[in-house]
Amino acid sequence: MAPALAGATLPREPHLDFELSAEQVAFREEVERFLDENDDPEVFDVTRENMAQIVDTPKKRAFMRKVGDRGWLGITWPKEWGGQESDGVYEYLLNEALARRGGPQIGKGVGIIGKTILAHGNDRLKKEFLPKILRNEVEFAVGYSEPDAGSDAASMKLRATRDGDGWRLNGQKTWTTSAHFAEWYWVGARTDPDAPKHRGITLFLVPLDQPGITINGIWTMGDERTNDVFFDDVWVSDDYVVGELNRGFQYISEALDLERFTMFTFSPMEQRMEVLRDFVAAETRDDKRLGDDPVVRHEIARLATDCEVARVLGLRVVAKSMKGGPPPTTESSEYKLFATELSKRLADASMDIGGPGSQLRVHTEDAPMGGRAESTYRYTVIDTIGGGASEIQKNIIARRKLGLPKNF
Amino acid sequence: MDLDFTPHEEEFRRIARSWLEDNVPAAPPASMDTAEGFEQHRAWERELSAGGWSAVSWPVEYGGQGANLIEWLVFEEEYYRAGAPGRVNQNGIFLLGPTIIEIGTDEQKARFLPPMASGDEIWCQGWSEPDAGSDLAAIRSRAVRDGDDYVLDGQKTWCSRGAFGDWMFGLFRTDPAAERHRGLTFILVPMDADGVTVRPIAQLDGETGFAEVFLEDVRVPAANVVGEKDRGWAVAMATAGFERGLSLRSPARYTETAGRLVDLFGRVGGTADPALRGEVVQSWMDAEAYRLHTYWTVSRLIDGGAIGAESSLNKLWWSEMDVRMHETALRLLGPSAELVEQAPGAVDDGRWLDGFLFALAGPIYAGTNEVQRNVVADRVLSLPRSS
Amino acid sequence: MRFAFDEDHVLFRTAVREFLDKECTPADIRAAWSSHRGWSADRWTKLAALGVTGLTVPESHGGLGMDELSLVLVLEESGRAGLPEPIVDTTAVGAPLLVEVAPDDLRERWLRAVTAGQAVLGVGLAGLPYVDHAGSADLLLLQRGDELHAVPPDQVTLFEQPSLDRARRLASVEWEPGAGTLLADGGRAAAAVESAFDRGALATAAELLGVSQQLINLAVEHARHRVQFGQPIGAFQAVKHMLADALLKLELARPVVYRAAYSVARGMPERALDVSMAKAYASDAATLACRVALQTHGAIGYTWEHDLQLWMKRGWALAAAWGDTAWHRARVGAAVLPVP
Repeated sequence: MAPALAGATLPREPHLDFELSAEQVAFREEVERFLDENDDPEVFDVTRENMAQIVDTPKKRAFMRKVGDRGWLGITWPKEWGGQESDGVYEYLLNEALARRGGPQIGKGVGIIGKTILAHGNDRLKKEFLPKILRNEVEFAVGYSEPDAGSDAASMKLRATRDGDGWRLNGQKTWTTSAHFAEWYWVGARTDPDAPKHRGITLFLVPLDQPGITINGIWTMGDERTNDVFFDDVWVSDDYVVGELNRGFQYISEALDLERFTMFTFSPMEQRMEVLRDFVAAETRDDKRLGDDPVVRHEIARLATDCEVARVLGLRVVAKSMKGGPPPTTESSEYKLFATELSKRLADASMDIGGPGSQLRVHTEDAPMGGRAESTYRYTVIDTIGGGASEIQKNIIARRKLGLPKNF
Repeated sequence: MDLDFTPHEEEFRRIARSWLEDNVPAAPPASMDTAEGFEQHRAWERELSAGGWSAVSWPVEYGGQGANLIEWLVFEEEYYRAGAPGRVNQNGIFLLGPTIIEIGTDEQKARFLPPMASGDEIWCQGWSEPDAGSDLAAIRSRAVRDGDDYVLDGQKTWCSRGAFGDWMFGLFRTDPAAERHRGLTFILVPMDADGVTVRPIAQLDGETGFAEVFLEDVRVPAANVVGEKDRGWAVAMATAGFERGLSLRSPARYTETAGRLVDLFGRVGGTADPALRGEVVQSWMDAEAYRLHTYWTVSRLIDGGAIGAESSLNKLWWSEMDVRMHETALRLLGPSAELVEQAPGAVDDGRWLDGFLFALAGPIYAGTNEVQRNVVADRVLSLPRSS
Repeated sequence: MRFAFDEDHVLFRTAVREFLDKECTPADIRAAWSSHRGWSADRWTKLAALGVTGLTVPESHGGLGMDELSLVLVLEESGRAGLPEPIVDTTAVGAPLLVEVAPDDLRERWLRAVTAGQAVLGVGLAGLPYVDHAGSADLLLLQRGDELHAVPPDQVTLFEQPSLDRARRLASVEWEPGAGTLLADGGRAAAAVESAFDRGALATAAELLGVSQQLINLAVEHARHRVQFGQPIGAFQAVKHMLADALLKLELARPVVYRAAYSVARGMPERALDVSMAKAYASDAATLACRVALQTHGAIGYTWEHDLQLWMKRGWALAAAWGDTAWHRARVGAAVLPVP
């Protein structure tokens, strides 16, 4: 074979590099220094697990304003709108660093709402919201789910009817996590009841203090608040329609592809893995070191390997979204499915390895791993449901990646 | 509740054990999926029958012992304990036999049961067709009435024992206008009839455990219909219930495998992955749980209860447990796992690998496990049917 | 061989079920969660009148003198109903322990009180770090080394250890053994501790059967009525198969637990092995049932107001209590596997 190839130019291997560049490493270090300087237990609380990302206190807001002052909220945005036009990997590094410490994150305003407005919004929306998002002067709540539209989000029924140069909204949303403190509601409503369900939805921005809006708290098993939001003849001007009429579900889907990886960050899992590893390394049981137990060692090794797989699946989403082109739909479903199922397995293992004390809650004396086994267990069980349940992710992968026929 | 065996049951066990010890061949016969092995297994069936042990749970008049279900389980425990050969006429004795006893005519009982018990007629199954697998109701092979006969046309596939069997039972469409599982009839077909062509199919292990059967103008007497014309689905479901449930896979088969797995661990576990220890224990417990579950079910049946869709739970359990146990064994064997019988380094004559390949078919035959999960969901949990 | 319950077992179970359907609703459980001690004295008295608290107490001390076969069916019901009262520690473990080792006067006094619903017992064995309902126990049966003591509550210091299941009121107990509280020592204490542990593990396994059944029932009910994509979600195979798997685990665990009850009741030599198998199976069945039930419910199942959490939290807690699956499987392994 070799002689026949002599003189021929071999094709270059496609570039494959899992390491960060020097610039990226420098950025990550800069972020870490900044977070060290701004360390505050009221802003960063890993024990709230994945709910910690919500910007729900004045201190958290103030902190995010500082992040905005550094120019870090619009890393990937165009310069025209105050951004830096940098690669998505910087946004990823920032968000993962925030998540690792149990701090507020950038997924919702910068990711879902900012990017959708940039892509589809009119100038007025851009002028009004983009600068505020970059300075973290506004909090949003996101309203897709309804009592009868959960996994089947496209069946949402909140009704928007034409009224002068605006719309009247009537109906109910549910599982709106930030509604009780946010200023603006990013909400999907049905504008064309006669069109197929995916094609009759429009996105609106509605101030949450608008007359006719009622917000009722729902308390979760994880001790966090989420909300029902009721609309009774709520008026919204045409100025606050996002993008084109009846294209809302398309925008929601695009944004969900982004949400899946910004909302289900990897670093908290890595952090929990370290908590478990440190516990195993230090703990003795029946006078034997837990770290010497072969079964425990194998379990830890398997989980650590899977964590690495999750990390790389996440990076793949980042890499793909940096190349432009269509959103990384199946990649982000694969990451979300694998990472959230792994998150539950990790919680199970922490519970098992921690022994009977694992049920003790955070802030209980003697609780192994500082009660994190219990809090992780209780919080992560919802991850395979929120942001598109595992069953939905599997359907997406089966249909869009494997080409299996659509079944409903 | 009394988990001790009665003196009568213990005596039954003693007699069975002693007969098996005296009669089980020292050297195992060749695989029943070869021509030579098939006849060796038939010879063993004849021997069992001569001793009165080929169909212990059947009525005495047809060659059985009239044993109740507990005694049958005891016999099975002894059978596997003795390492006796596989049952080449399983399709007949455990599936068709009970069906005929339950719903066959007196003539059918007299004609078919004795040669079934004696091993003179070995049965194969004729359920699946190329386009009717999990969706069995999509059967297209036809049976048309002509005088005192039915004339059969069509193709059956995945017929277990089809390569060498003497008779086949299966479903045929008698009412072409009827939808799906209506209009099917349960018919018994001699494999030597004119118009029957058998094409053996080699399976994963290279042997021909099943076959395609082509039927072209095959005439069988109308007396070979079991149950009523056009009502064959109900007959088939009764048969399939036996298959999924108790009679196809008695727990002794798995407690015996689990015992060998524990023994294997004793021999090679010292060098194996220590986490495998937990898997071996789990396998042992799974087999034991299946044994308990079976005694629990059987006691309920003896008290007058019925086994319906719950038999799907049994099938899910034994088929998936069998795969897990063999996977564990192969992991224990590590680098020798892939060695076949002929390899000098093969452990236990490559039996674990054979068992693994056989076990892999379990979640597929007798109704795939996906179908079984639907049955459990629909009929035990009463979930809404899929559209 | 007859592996089935007798009619009197079943009748008693039915009576308990009917009582709990009326007296232990989700609202009652929530009331217990927010109450000072985590359970209701009123319901405990009613359970006593039904014979439940003294079920294991010999007739000579006023109890029903029934064995573990009756007990497991009752505990299956208490698990199904989510009963918050301390029936496991008092009736399943504490009372038989007193029968085994307590001197006559102590035994008569406390067993009468348990039967009458006037006392609850706390049990603290050396391998188990926390005592359930320690703060409301009238007598604590505590192990220290090779000694077993009956300690009045005023001689202990409690450190509360809140559990995710708010009906479980765990505490670490600090206490000093003294001659006045000694019940047994040496081999006699060791044997009593072993059987107490097996009784606790068996009782917990039985409750887990009921918990799992209830979780599956709730999920099936939800799947039949919740409509998405134009049909009840229970019509989707992904949901059907998940629920079928949960049922499979439960149905296989059931006879394993019943056999263990038989072994404990008859004092069979394989008692420890059988109990460990039961606890391992019941814990696994419950863990899967929790997961499947929540996944089937979706977000609504994660809320505080939905009752699913009452059973999920109990399932999680009990799966880890009295030895988790790994511990019990290891104990089976020690009995079954040869030393390589």
